[in-house]
Amino acid sequence: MAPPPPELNEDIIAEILLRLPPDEPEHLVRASLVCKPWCRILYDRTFLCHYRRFHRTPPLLGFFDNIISDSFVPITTAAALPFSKAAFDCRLWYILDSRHGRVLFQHRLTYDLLVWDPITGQKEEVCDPPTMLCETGIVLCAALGCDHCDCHGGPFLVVCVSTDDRDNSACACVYSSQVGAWGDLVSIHLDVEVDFLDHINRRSGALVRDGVYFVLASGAGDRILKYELGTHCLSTIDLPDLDNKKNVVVMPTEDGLLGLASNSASTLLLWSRMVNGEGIAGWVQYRVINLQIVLPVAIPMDKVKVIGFVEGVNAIFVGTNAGTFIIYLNSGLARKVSGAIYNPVVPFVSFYTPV
Amino acid sequence: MASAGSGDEKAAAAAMITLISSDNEKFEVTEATATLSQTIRHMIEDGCTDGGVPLPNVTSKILARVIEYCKKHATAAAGEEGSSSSFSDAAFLEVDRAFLEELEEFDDAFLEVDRATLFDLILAANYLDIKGLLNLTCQKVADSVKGKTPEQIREMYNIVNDLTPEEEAEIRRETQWAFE
Repeated sequence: MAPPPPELNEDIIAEILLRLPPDEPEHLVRASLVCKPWCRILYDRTFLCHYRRFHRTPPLLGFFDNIISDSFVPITTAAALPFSKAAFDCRLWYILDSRHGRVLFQHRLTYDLLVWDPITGQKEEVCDPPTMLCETGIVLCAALGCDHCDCHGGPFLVVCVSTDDRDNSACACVYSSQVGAWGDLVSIHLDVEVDFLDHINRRSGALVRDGVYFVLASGAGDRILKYELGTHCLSTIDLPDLDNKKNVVVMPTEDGLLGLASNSASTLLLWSRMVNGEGIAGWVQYRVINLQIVLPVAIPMDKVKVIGFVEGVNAIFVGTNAGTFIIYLNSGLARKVSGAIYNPVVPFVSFYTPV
Repeated sequence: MASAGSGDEKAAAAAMITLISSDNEKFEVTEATATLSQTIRHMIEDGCTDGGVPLPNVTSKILARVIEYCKKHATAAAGEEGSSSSFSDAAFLEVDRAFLEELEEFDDAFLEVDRATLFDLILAANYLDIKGLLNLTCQKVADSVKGKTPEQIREMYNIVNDLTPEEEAEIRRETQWAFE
């Protein structure tokens, strides 16, 4: 019979527990029930901080889709929610965005804004923006030089945008949690007759370096609205030549450039905004993915839609008749995550560590 | 002068170190192999290796395995330095890939040991401060813990549960989602 394993000290047990995968957070919790030393390590703040630095990229825990399912859909191996569903009743709230472990909500009736940290349970109300109604927006960590592994409870910004059909303009405003107030409004004339029914795509925000991007719908010229955090300036960027301008998701590319995902039937197209030798910016199609090959099941061609991008994890959500799939761009692997969804989804990315 | 310089380099590359296990067995290894261990690297830098390096925490059985690992990975490190500094064309990339695959196969085979040996290797890697080996062995244990219940983990690694029923119940209550 093999001899019993020698005893390991807590430093070495920590080295082992450090290597449990963050995208399957239930393993950490189960391991904490093994014995007192394991429990002590797994609830130790220094260890958890080290754990997050070791894995660097926070995992995708799931996504919000409150149009159809009214809920959070977990993507980890645990069947249940890593945070208490009772802690937040999503039904009254519209989910606008999520980033750096926070979720931005807007009340369906009062349009009040609220930022929730599902891991800590902390909620922070955001006062109404001045002289504008937030049509969509994004939330981001405001700490300088932060790696966003561990910025729970830290300062955040909310960037909200809207369009106005009275003077055919778009405007933006930024809320700082440190100041507890909104900054000045900035606006831009859109050179089109803005259709108040079809003007801005909700949940379409992306953060690329210092730029915040939203997709303007056909009623506002089928363009991208860019807000620069550093200079507080608004501008617009034309979309590339696409078959269907309704299927557009803006995202950061791996090189930190503005990217865009769209699809034409079952072909997923990835674009990057590049500057040529003469200093002129333009769209370059850098990748074409045949969904019939990548997806694990045959899909009917008639209804396919790009519905989201996971920053950091570099993955795209695609809704089809055969269900909703996530495609990991680095590995090219895809898997089904839920039934068919055709509205933009809001991915939730964060370490789940039990403290 | 140039030839004398390269002669010195050769002598340095071939410098041998003697490692002495807890059961007094002696192992002659090249400096390149030995310095995968940060602990030994520091001893060499401090000039404390004359007459051999005693390793009272490592048995000859485990030290032999550790040296086997270091030899393989020291060759890999030397190969990497050689290829990346001069060439990066397709042929060299191909060689690199083949080498990495071979290294991966070596690591997989290296980990085919019983749990007691695996734990001894972890202790040795930690004591000798060999990052690659510590990572490899700890990851193996972490992978084996994945998907197991607390009871199964305790049984696998001979761990006594010293949590009180109350403590256990409290953790379970707070983290019910992980057990559904």
